[in-house]
Amino acid sequence: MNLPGDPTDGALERALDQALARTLIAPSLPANFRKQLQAAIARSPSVDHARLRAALEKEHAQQLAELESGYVRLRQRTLGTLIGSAFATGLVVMLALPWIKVHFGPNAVFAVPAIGAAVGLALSARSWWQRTGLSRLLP
Amino acid sequence: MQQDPPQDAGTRDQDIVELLRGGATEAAFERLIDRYESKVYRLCCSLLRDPDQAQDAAQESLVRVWKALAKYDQRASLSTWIYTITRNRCLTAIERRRDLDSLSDSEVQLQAEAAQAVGPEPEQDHLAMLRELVEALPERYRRVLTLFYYEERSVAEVALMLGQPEGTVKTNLHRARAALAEQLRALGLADPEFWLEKST
Repeated sequence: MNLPGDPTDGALERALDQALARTLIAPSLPANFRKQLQAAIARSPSVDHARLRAALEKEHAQQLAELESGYVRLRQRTLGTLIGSAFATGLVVMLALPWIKVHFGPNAVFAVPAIGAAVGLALSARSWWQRTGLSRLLP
Repeated sequence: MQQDPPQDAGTRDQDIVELLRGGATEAAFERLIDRYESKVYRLCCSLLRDPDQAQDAAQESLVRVWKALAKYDQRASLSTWIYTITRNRCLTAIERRRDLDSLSDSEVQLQAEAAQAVGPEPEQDHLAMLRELVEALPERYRRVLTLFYYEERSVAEVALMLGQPEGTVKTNLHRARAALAEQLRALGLADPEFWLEKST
C-alpha cells in the first residue's frame, strides 16, 4: 500500500507502520473483568436455557406447520396430467381457431373460452362422478 | 486468557457450536468468554474510546450474548453474531452521548487522553503526538486503524469485528495511513528515519 507521489513514501509508510504498532497497543482486559461479568450475569434475571430452547423448538414447529399448510401437494402423475392437459388444450385451440373463426365470426372471442369452460366442467363432473361413487349407484 | 490463532470464522467456533447443540450452554459460554472477552473489550475500546464505557459496554454485550445464547441459530457465524451484538450495544452508547463527530474539541481532547490510558504510557513525545493525530482522524479511519493494530494486523478480523467487507477495511486503512502521512508532511515530520530512530 504505497502512498502516491514521493519515492520516499514507501519508506515513510514502513516507518509509520512500525511507529503505529508501538503506539496502538491493544488495551488489556481490566483485572476484575471476569468477576464483574459473572456478577452481572448473576444479577440479571435468570435464564432457563432448557425452557427457552423448548419454547423455541415449539415455535419453530408451529412455523413449520403453518408453512406446510400453505403448500399444495400433488402427485407427480397429477402434475404431469395438468401440464400435459394445458399444452394439449393450447394445441387444440391453435388448430381449431381457423374453424371457429369461420363458424362463429366476431363471436369467436367468446366461443373459445365458452367451449373450454364446457369441456373443463364436463371433465370435472365426470371425475367427481367417479370419485364420489355416484356412478355405482346407477344400474 | 486464551488467544486463538486466526482461522476461518466458519470453522473457528465449531467446538462451541457443538457444545450448544449438545445443550451444554454453560460450558459453551465459558469457552466463548475465554475466546472473545478480550476481543469484545478491544472492539468496545475502539468504538467508544473510553476505557470505562468500553468495560461497561463489553460486559453488557456479553450478558446479552449469555441471555440469547439459546436463540443462536447459526445463520451467521458465532463471531459475527457476537460482534454484531457488541457493535449494537456500542452504537446505543454512542447515541446516548450524541454522535462523537459532533463533540467539541475539548471533549475530543479528553477522550484522547482517556484512550491513552488504555494502552501503556507513551515514553516518547512523538508517539504521543502520533496518537493524537490518530485520534483526530475521521471516525471510520480511526476505528479501522486502531483495530488493525489491536488485532495484530489482521484485516480479516477487523472486517469481522466491524461487519465490513475486507476491501472496505483495506481502503479505509490505506486512506487513514495516507491522511497520517499527509499530516506528518505538513508538520515537517515525514522523514522515515525520524520515526525509525525515535521509536526504537
